[in-house]
Amino acid sequence: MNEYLQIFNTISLGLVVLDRELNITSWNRWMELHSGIPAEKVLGQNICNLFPSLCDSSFNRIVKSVFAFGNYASYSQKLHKYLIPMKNPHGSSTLFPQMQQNCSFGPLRNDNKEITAVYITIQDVTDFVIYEHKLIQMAKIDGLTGIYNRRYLDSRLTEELERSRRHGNPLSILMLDIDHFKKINDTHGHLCGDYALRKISELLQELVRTSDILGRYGGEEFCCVLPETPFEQAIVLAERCREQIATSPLSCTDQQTRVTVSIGVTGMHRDDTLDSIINRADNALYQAKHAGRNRVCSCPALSEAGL
Amino acid sequence: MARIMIIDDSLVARMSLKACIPKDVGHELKEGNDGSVAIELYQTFKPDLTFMDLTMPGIDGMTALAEIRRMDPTAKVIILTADIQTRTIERVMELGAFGLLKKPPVKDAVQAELIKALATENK
Amino acid sequence: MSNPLRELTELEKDALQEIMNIGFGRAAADLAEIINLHVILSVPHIAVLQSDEVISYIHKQIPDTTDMSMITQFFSGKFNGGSFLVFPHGEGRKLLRIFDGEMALLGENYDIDVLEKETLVEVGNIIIGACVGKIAEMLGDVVSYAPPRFFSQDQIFETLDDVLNGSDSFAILFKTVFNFEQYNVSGYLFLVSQQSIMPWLKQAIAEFLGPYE
Repeated sequence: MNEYLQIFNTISLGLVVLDRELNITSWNRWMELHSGIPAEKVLGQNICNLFPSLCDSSFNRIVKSVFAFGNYASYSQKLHKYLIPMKNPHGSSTLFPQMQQNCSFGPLRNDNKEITAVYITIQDVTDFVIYEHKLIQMAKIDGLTGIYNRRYLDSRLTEELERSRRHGNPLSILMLDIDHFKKINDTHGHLCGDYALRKISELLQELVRTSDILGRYGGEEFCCVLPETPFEQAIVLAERCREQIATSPLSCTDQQTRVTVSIGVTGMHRDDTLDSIINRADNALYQAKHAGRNRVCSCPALSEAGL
Repeated sequence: MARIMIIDDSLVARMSLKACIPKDVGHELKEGNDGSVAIELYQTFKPDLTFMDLTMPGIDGMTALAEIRRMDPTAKVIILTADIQTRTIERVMELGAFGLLKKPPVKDAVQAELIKALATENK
Repeated sequence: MSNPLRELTELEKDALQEIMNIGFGRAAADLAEIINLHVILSVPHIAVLQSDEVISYIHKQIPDTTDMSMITQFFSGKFNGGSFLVFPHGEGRKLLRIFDGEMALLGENYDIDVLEKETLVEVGNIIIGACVGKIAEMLGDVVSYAPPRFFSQDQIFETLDDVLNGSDSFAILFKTVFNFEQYNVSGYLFLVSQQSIMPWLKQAIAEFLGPYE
């Protein structure tokens, strides 16, 4: 068999050729395998009839341009996810049920140098995308508790401050700190300390709303950004958190322990920066600790200027 | 036998248009290389027909077309352009162009326009 | 020592200018009519320079390279060379609006710089193909393209340096400014060919002038 034909059928890349009417004139073995559609079923068919969702503006624009200008065209996973819907071949992934694809297009000419067809290459990049996603998540997420890490929280808080400022909406934040955390570690061991952190993260995640941004801010410190939330409402939420945590038993290595948190609450001031609002919340948190722990203290934005 | 004005900033463009105009009929030709020359020359030369490019430095073809038609509502101006987008064509016709030709000029098309333009009675 | 084959005569330059005008005019018209992409291409400027002057020439044209993004794409045929599409940095992200409607699919896990790059590559390919393709067509040639590459900021001059230095001693440079009105994005397109295409270029120009002489 012709070498090119062998390459065409064994290469681990999808190859499709379309004529000027967008009818499929070639569909290689890789395409058959991954689409589950044999070549006989598609040859001569219009690709838009077979895959209606395909013929959106990007695909049309690209194909038309290649026929008109003979350019090389790219169709990236980053912008489009995929071209031809296919199942993720790497096993089921709830994040990426479809195969993620990078594609390219190019002209095919006849002996008179006229463009009579367009070829499409389809490359499976699902595993790269999954890996990249993991890396991105790792950069955002605190490994132990599974909630956001400080770096991500800081950047989100900065964004939300800007957004609130732009739209004139209120914003509040909570700073929580586990009371006597060192004692927990010393008395019951670090595994118990870790368990406490995880358990409290879980509780907090259930209590806050989907629009709220919860992160681990320090060793035993948490911060929760509450967009579009007025100060008074934030205090109510803080109190609910304090109460839930104080009344939830924490079973750890055979011993029942109770853990409490101190919480500082503050609302956004129009001129707040990341530092000024965090400082104010920290001060409120400090007041709560000083006043005996297991309580909520608040520092309204309009009182002392940020330290 | 007519007075024909040719306006284009490119020597080669003027050359190629001239090559499409029959030489044995005794047409009188004058050339210019931008919109301001077109406007001045129109007043002194009083051509029966003008061929004009759109993209010129200084005063461009659209502006010159509008000005010439303002000065003389009977002026016959044929626009030559490479940019044959619908909205360009519409704008050009709105401004009162007699016709529009694609570049590079082709003998048959140029002569057809010539015949049309010179056959029309002046009002 | 001047070699007639190295230089373009005034007439040839004028002819090439007109050829490029027409080519770009057609490219802009096709972009608008066929794919509904409205670009305004300025009258191109042509220069024949020593290869090592090309970089400083481009440098002078671009206000601030530390703040730019660039797509490069090599093309080959009888008309061969490199195309360089340069945008002020960050402009590219305005073009993301071309994908309005499809963007909903992207979700929250995206990096704006990455999206900008991909958009520039996707749209840039088309612009380059239209401009280079039409010029080639006018000169009686058909070109093919290498895959595009994207560079930003400091990488730009390093790349240009690598690409342009150490080759044939003369280069022919074409520059145009393009503008996407509806997205308020403009940039530059440079086409650079080595002097080795000169004999063919002169021949192609002569053929273009043929019917008019």
